Amino acid sequence: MISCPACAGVVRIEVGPRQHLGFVCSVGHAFSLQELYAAKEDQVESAQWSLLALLKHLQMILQIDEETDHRHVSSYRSHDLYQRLEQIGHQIAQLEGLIEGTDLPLRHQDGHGADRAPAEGP
Amino acid sequence: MNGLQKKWDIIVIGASAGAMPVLQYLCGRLPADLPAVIGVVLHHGSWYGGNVSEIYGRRGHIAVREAKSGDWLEPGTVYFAPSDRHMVFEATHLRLSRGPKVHFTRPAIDPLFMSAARTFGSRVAGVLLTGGNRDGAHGLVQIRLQGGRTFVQRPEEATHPTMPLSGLREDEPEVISTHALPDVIISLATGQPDHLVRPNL
Repeated sequence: MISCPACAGVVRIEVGPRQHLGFVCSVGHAFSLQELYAAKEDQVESAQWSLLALLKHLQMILQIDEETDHRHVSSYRSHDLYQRLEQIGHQIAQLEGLIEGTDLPLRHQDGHGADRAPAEGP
Repeated sequence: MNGLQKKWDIIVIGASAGAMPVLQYLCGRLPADLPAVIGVVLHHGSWYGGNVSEIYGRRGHIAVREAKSGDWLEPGTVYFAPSDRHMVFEATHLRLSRGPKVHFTRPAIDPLFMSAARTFGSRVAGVLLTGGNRDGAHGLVQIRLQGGRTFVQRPEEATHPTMPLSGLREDEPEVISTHALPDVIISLATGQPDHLVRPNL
């Protein structure tokens, strides 16, 4: 099951008379295959930034703890906290690499839309 | 200037909706030996796969290419930011990045303008063309604060005037007519008297 990019619903597949695939959720949000794919790519990126933000928050919290001599998270073993801080640093770098290394497929312009050269002149 | 003409050999251009014919007009009239590097950010979707050299470079003499990360900044070249990447200018080359969207867009104008201002200071001229959002205005301010020169397309000539108007609100750019744009850029790059530049509105 694929969740709807626009609400909490789930999309169902509808096949048109010419075998054209459509996706419609329970409240009526409708997408073509291409639109659904693009929306899901947007969601992936959004989730990646959210995870990156969370990891940076964790990093900041543990750094505060480190700087304040563990008074605030004193129930944790300091060695474990340092290890986790180091691990978070690696995870941040890996996630940044994942985001940076993503190459979205470009669309053919097929001589129409934005790719068609308009008449000369400003 | 003691016999030495001031030159602006790093020219950055921000553009959005309605800018394609303006950029075609500009690129079609710049000489191959223009002694300046030009960087262009044109807003488009993340999936846009247009052929930049074909669309903007076929009518003119100046080299027009889609930027690749690590490209050396070569005078006489117009670099267009590719889809889904910010483009920033560093001292000798450009860098592409899939960093966070700025003003909900990537590529965005501000990262290019700010990086050029930071790296090249008073050698930079920034130009903001037609567009429907406010990207680029803060970049213009940074260019001017670093000693560079700033311009906006005359709003009444812009298909979507929001972007040049936003530049006028945030900064104190000079206003240029679309038709004068190629001559203004040539005069900036060569240090010739730029009498074509119009006073502000």
